[in-house]
Amino acid sequence: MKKKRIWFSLLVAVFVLVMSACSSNNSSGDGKKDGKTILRFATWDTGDTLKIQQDIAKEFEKENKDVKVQVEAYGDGFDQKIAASFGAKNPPDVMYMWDFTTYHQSLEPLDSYVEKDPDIKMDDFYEGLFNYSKVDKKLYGMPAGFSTMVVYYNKKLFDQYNIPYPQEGWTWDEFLESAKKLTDKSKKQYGFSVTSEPDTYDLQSLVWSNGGSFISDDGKQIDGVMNSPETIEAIQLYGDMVKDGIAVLTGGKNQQSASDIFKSGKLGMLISGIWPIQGYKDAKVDFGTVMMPSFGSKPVKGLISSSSISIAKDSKQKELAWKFVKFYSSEKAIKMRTADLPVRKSVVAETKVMEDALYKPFYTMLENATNTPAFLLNKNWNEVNRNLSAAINAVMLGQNGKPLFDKAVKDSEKYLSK
Amino acid sequence: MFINRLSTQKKLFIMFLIVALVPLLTLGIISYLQSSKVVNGKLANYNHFAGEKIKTQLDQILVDMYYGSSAIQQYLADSTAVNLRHQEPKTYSDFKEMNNLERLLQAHKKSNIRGIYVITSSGYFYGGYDFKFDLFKKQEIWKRSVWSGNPSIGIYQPTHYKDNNPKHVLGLIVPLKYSYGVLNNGYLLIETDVDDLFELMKVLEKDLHSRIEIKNELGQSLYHSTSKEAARKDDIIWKEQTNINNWNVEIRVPRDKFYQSSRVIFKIVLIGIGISFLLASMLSFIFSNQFTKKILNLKFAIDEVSKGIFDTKLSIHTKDEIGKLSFHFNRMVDKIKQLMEEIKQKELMKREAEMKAIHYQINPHLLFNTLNTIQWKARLDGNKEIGQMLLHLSKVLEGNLNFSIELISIKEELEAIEHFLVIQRLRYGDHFNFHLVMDEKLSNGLIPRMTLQPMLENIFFHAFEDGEGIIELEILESGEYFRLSLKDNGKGMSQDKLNTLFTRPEDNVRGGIGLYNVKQKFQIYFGKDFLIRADSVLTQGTFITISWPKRWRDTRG
Repeated sequence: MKKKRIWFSLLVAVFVLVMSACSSNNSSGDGKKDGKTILRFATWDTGDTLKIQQDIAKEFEKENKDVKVQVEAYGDGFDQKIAASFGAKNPPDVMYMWDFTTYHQSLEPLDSYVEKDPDIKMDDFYEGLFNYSKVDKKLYGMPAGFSTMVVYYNKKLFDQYNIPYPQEGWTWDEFLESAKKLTDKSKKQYGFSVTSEPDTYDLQSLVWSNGGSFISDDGKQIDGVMNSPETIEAIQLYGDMVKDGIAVLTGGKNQQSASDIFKSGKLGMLISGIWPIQGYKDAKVDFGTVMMPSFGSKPVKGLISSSSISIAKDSKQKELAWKFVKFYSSEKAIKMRTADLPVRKSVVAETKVMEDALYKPFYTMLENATNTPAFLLNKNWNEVNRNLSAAINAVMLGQNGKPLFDKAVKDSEKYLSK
Repeated sequence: MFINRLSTQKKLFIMFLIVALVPLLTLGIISYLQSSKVVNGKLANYNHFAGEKIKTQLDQILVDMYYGSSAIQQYLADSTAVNLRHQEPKTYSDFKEMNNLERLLQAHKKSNIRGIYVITSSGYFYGGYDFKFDLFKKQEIWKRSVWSGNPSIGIYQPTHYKDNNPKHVLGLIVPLKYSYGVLNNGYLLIETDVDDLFELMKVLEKDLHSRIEIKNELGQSLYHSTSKEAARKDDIIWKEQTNINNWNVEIRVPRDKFYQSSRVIFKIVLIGIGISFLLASMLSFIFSNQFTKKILNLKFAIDEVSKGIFDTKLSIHTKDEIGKLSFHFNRMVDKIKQLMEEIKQKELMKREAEMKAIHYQINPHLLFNTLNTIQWKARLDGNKEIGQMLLHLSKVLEGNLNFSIELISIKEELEAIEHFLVIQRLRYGDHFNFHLVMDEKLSNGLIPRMTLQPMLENIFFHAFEDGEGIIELEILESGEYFRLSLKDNGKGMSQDKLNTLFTRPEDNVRGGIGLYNVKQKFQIYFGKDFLIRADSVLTQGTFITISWPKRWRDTRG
């Protein structure tokens, strides 16, 4: 009996050994991996800035051991991919967002989450940022980072031509004078750079500062607004600089980028957000930043480029998504975002970023960012914008603005009538 | 037969091993065959599936690209829709035209299409800003298409994007031939990001150790896995052909890599069998050893006993058959030992008796001659009675002095006592009576020589006063035994005397040796298998009975 049992258990042991060698246990559950809940997060960032997003995601995972954040870097294809995923009802739980007018119907309103979660401390955010993530007074995204536009200038070139550095409160007249002095065509050196086919969004701060606008404040009218003398004058300012030869056209097809020229020391001034600042530091350019110039006595107006983060309406784990969004807007995460500017006053105070002369102008411009961009005012803005863009592109090449803007208005009126 | 020459232990050992190994090997072989069949089948399916997937993806990409290119070409060929001028856009309408074209190109940009560009003969292009035409001009595919004037398609590494360069793209260049317009002699370029496909192929290459080669319809290699090992004839190959372009996708797995999994299974099974074999050998060795050790012990014990060593004792630990056998063996040895002891004792007694006999032997010739002489003298003197007495005495002595101890027939013994009785009659006259009761057929029964005479002598010397009395001798059969009873009506004897009747008398005491001798004689012949007893009542007589095993004189010889 004993003997038999030994042989039997031996055979069983061999059998189990063989069988276990043949099978492998690959189990994959829905939305789970290694027993962890998966949270999908989509971003348009690439390279170093993507790395920052991934680091923040890892921090979140550290605090939530049962969660795995799957960072989906859509890069250039962000709009196509996010639109496709909304259409397929399988969107990422959380995503970067800026175009709220287009996508707000696929996004989860956050007001109720904010209300029942006092930890979020809404007072700590710069008020102006929420304008960009609200549609019909509903909040669809929490601000994560932002930038405004300022003037970068090459101190070495200013010194070389004995021009005093620009100061806060300066005017376009002073700007033009400096640009003229900085230009030396024989050296292919220019005072300023104008984007040959600019994004109309970026030009709004210039237009507002001259008292103009692309669309009426109620978003219902463009005639007399888009083609108003103030708007045309502001845009013409850039085109004339190109025509006069004190500005170089950049960024178009087969053209160099403004950043590359600035890095090579052949560009006196350029207008940009916070994004290239680290690159210039790395390239050892001796540069300064200053707020945008004013049109005489008119107040300077700022424009915000913001990154917000939103929750998809079709997300199956909204509470967890909110937890992530909250973490993303927390002081800890905001401090990690070194590629753009902190959105929390407390972080700004703590890191003393405002006291840095290079960063201060961005906040000055933020304080002046009280206007609402055109795309938030009318849902057909994209169609209007195409005509506006054609007009502006032509102006940048030195053509007369008035008839172009009139034509753009005429071509676009149909999109405004309900 | 060979097996018969093996020791029991080896037989048992081999038997146990066979019993263990046959199912073990069968199970091992079956599980190996089954599982390797399943694994190889799955692997083959997986490879086939992978090849098909690569093919399908390629097909999908190619379809998208060709479809996109023809749709765009159709649009561009429509003169009413395209009003591009022979220059970079400058006017509002130029920009609007450009805008429309860009939108068209954008519309065909599916998610994995990296870029769609319409490149004019002047080098200006439509389709986005992050394209660097200067760098693209260095690509082989561009040179090829410009040189041949034909569409070109290929897989290459792009370096001509401002950022987000994929590692590999599938590019299609179509030269545009229109009769007029800015786009005449231009090119349409569509590039698809195939990093996902390459990722899939990398996984395949790594997971399955496979080598993938994609060849175009002319047999030119578009992609092949980098591998140090050369392709071999016995490689296992799956081939797929794309529906578009007839490209060949070949997945090649070296034979040894393909069978790696089943080899691993084989090894594991082998190790399992090896371990079980060791265990089985150990267990069967231990068991057979234990079993045969007991038998061997028994054998050694028997050997010892056969050599005459009777002190051998087996220790008994178990109650199984071997334990019982050992127990019986021990008992048997004890018995043999006892028997041997008895035999030894008998031999000793026999020798002693013979020695004693020799000791008492007087030269019988001298005695007989002397008696003869006396007899003759008596006859010459006319004394017949003495002559008679001497005759009978010599007869009695003849029996008595025959020291060779042997069994004689009862008849002979009775004849011997007849002479004795004659002498006694001459001595005492007819004062006594002797009655013999015996069946004639018993006269051939055997009895030790000179056993009756000493008893009769005893009666005459001790029991009868002046030779008066009755002696009754009865000999009869009782089962397997003869029974002799001798009865006298003499004066009998005391119990004390009776107790010492058959014991060996003190050497210096004369007489009384007779009955001891009688008992000795029986003992010598029959061991313990006889019975002798005496009863006596003072003044009444004595009664002696002897029983001994029946033996018969061989009357044939």
